[in-house]
Amino acid sequence: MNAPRDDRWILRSRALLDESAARLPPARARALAEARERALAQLAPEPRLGWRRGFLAGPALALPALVLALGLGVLLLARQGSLPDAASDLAPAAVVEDSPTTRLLSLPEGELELLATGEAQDLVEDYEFYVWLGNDATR
Amino acid sequence: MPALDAEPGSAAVLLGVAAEPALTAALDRFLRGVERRALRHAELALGNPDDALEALQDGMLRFVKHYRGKPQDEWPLLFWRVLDSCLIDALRRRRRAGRWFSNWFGGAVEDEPDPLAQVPDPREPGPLARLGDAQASAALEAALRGLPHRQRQAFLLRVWEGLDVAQTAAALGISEGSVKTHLFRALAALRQKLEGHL
Repeated sequence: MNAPRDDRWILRSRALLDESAARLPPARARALAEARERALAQLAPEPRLGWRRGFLAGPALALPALVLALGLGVLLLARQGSLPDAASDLAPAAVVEDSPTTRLLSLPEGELELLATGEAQDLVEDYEFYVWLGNDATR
Repeated sequence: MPALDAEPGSAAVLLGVAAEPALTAALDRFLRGVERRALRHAELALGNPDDALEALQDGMLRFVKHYRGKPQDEWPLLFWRVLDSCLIDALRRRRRAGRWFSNWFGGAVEDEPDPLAQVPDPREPGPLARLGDAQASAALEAALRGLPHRQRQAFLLRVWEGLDVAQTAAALGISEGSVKTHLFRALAALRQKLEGHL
């Protein structure tokens, strides 16, 4: 080191500064250590909760989605007639001469579909009236 | 994880994830070695011990964030550079607060020293005053605090930290000629105040 002129007072000053740095009160030294730890905490790997959360939530969300997809698929296939007709499966057990069920099952496909919708609820509830009305109109 | 802001070719970048624990340990060692002296720099510059610790904390954070990827032999100069920047920021904040205070309550002239900065902290007698030679310590403390910031930093870095003129200039962000001028003035002022005491 190319130091300035080493006067006595400079050497003494340096020694006093060294001592003052070495003899920190304990509370001050603790605060200093905490400051260093906070600075070094920046080096800790950052938790990537985003993808981890998605990764963990994936299976939990996949099951309801699968059930929903299967349900929709079955419904779609049933409506397209690809699957055995549920109504026809029920028919042998429910066959009774001239019962409302028999008449419902004997309806054309389009009409049964119409009856199954929520909007045709009154038609289902008052089927006899609408049959009469239909017959009356064709007379 | 490669170090953020690391320079290309630095150890952190070359070693990647495996370098992190070693880098952390190296930074910890470096900061442990320099932190007490750095705190003294901050205390002498700012007077208030809480402000000093806050400035040093800021300096450590900035140093680790921006310069951890630099070669380790450059760390000391970079650290002193960052700390000096933090001290100047703190002095600027204090000056702005002093201006606001004087505008509303005192109407002091802007170029006058900030009166708030001159108020001694009653909790802190000064680190040098804690030593056995109370009179010498108090004299050195007062003399160093009485110097302008650049003169005090030039003295501390050049005489206490042992940096040469070029290194001191780099640490303070000024020319070597300015370092010599500041140091000459600091030595003259300190000699006048301290020769009888030390």
